[in-house]
Amino acid sequence: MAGRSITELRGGRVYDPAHGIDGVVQSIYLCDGQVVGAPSDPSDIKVSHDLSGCIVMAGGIDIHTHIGGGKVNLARMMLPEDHRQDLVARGRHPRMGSGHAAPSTLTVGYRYAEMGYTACFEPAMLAANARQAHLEMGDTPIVDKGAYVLLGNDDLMLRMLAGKEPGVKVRDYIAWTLRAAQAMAIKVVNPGGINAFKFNQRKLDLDEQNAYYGITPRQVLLALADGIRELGLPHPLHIHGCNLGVPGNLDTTLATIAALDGLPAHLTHVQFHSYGTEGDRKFSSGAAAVAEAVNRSPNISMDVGQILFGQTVTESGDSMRQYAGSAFGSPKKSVLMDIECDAGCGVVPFKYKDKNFVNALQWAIGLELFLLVSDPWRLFLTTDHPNGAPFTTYPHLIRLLMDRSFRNDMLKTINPDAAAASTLASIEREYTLYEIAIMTRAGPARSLGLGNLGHLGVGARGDVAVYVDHPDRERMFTTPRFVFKAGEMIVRDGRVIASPTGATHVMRVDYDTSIERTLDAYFERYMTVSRRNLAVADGEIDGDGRGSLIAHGARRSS
Amino acid sequence: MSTLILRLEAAPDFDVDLSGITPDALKDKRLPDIRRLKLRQGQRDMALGDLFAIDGTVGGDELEIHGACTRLHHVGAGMRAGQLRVIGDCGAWLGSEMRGGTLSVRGNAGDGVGASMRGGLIDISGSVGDYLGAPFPGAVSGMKGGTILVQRRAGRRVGDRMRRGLVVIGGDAGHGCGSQMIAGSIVVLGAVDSGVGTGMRRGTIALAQAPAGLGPGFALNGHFDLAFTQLLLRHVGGLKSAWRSRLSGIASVERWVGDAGGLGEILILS
Ligand SMILES: [Zn+2]
Repeated sequence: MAGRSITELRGGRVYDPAHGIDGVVQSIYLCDGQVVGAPSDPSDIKVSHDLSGCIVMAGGIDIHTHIGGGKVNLARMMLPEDHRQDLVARGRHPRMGSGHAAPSTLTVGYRYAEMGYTACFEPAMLAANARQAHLEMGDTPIVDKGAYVLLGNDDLMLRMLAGKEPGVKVRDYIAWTLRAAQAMAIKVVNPGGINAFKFNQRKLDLDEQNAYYGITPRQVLLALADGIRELGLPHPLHIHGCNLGVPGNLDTTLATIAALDGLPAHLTHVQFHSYGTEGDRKFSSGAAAVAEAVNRSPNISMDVGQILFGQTVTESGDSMRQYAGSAFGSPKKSVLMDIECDAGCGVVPFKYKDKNFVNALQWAIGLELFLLVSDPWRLFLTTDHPNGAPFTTYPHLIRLLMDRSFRNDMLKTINPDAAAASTLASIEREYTLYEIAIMTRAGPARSLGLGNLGHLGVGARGDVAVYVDHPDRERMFTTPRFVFKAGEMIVRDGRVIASPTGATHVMRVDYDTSIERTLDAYFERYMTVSRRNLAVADGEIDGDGRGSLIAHGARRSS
Repeated sequence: MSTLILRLEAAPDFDVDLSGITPDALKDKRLPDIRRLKLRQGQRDMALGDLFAIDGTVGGDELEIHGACTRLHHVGAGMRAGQLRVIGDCGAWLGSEMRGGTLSVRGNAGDGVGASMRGGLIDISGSVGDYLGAPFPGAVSGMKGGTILVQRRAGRRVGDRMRRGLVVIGGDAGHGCGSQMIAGSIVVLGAVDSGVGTGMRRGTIALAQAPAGLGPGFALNGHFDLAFTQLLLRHVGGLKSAWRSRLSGIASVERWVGDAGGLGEILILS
């Protein structure tokens, strides 16, 4: 092993929950893009960084952030002011960019890296838009990426369920879709509701029937969750439930958890699904009940979708709920569209105001959820970027979770009725760095089955974030001392210094190719493109020599 | 005399965004700080002092830009008060989102003059490009207040989606003058191209010369001697002496109404 070139990260305080390492002062060694053991020959250490006084974690992983696909580009087009007001000159970043809520692709990659994040997952890719999503993600520098493809509002799936097709056929269709869209997991948005919207239904609760197919959201959820379990996908069905944002949707959320009855599932942006109808304004927090149900259900993981105050834009496949929300858009403009036979899309700009009762209570509900759900391995830190707030607010959010007195100071500044209606002031919990490392690194990696990401054990990819320990956690997480990507230093003192291209993670499971006959007949009859044209080839992602694919497999074969 | 003077010594070979370089914004700044003000030049940042020789008196509310050229965009954008005089031609978005004060140009200006402006006066001695007083990109309406005077010709879609305010074009106006107007007044003293008032909801377009034709959404309402017309003409005539003689002797108007809801008004002065 002569001539090994090892980079030593010496004497930092390491938080590596995947190995139970909770703030132990130790050195990390990087070689050939990976974490390696301590070298037997010290002369192999060619570079050494003294990390005394520093916190060391694996690179951050965002399990749910809208960074690619049609809706993001629609938001960019609809909101030139978002870009004009936040210009980043070349020099500040390796290449110029712009945008606060819906930044340009380059700016997204640089800003994530500048916070110590090294992987991001786009949760709402339509198969019909997969090519566009991969092009955008391919243009997003530094971070690894992957996407979840939407099913459950497409006419083919609903047709199969209505026709009582056997589960194996549904599974083959799921597996084919994963492959065709080059996706990492399956997401369902307002199960069957987006489709129902096209048949003039304006709401669809868990057991309401789609007017055309006669299928209920419950049936869609169960078919998909069961199919995904049978296929052995690491990440369970990623669920954006019914009735997003509707006061009283707490009952729907509880019923959804009950309906899953032990089936693995991930509930996303649960903050938007935890509303009661108590009080004068008929809007109250359902966080305690939802958190209790999640705590009781080891099959359920969730992310919060915290809102933070300020201007942002909401982007969603849920055209039914975005249509309802478009009346409250600020500035008052919106895009709502139907996308092929797949689903829909809605983009509505929104300004969350701390003096507004509903917005202030949404803020409190999100924090209550964070603090009342006990297991950080099943709870991930998100703002549902940019729906609750842009991802650049994560350091602020971490401080809110880690610093009770700061949280209570903020609580005093919001709408007083909302503050009084929340139990937040009485919650004493403060997150530890170990728990933050779980929520932002180890947990997402485990849930997605990312293998060598999200931890710092020997063989892990050399994605490392180093922060200077500081009691102000917002300041600490905003500006890392160093960030390494695959062993290469990419950020120094919070500034991007190198801009490699991250890999695209995809999930591959075998399926019976006879499903393609069904698909061909369907595509021929209803779609604007052929089945073959819809599928994204590997070469479209890795063919230019920059991008690369990392294929993951099922936990077990079905 | 308390005028601050920016003198462009050599025309840049790149586009420069002058947003924020307004009399009100510079008023309380010291000269060295003014020289250091950051400007956007293409994909990079630069300092105001890199581009302009800066002299004159600080602390006043008058600003002059000498030797302007069409590479300078967003001149006077967002201005709130004071006097900004520009000698030379300007690029796009001059006076966009302006809220107050007077912005005068001895020369021509590009597209989007006074886009989404809310108040103040823009006075241009030469001609302008398209979308005068129209929505700034991303805005849902065009100008919401203030006055824009253009002594020569204006391009297409003058006052597109404007909500309030007055636009006077001394020369000709291009296709789609007053398109999608929501309210406000446009006066054109020269000839107008086709598509006047297309899709207008309300508002008034006064034309000194009859257009070749109007869209099918407009109907002749009759000939009138309206008190409003006399007030408008007196006001416009008071703005420039050349316009006063041009408008003298107009007694009645031919009034057309349309477009979408029938509340848009085109007055042909005769
Ligand atoms: Zn989302």
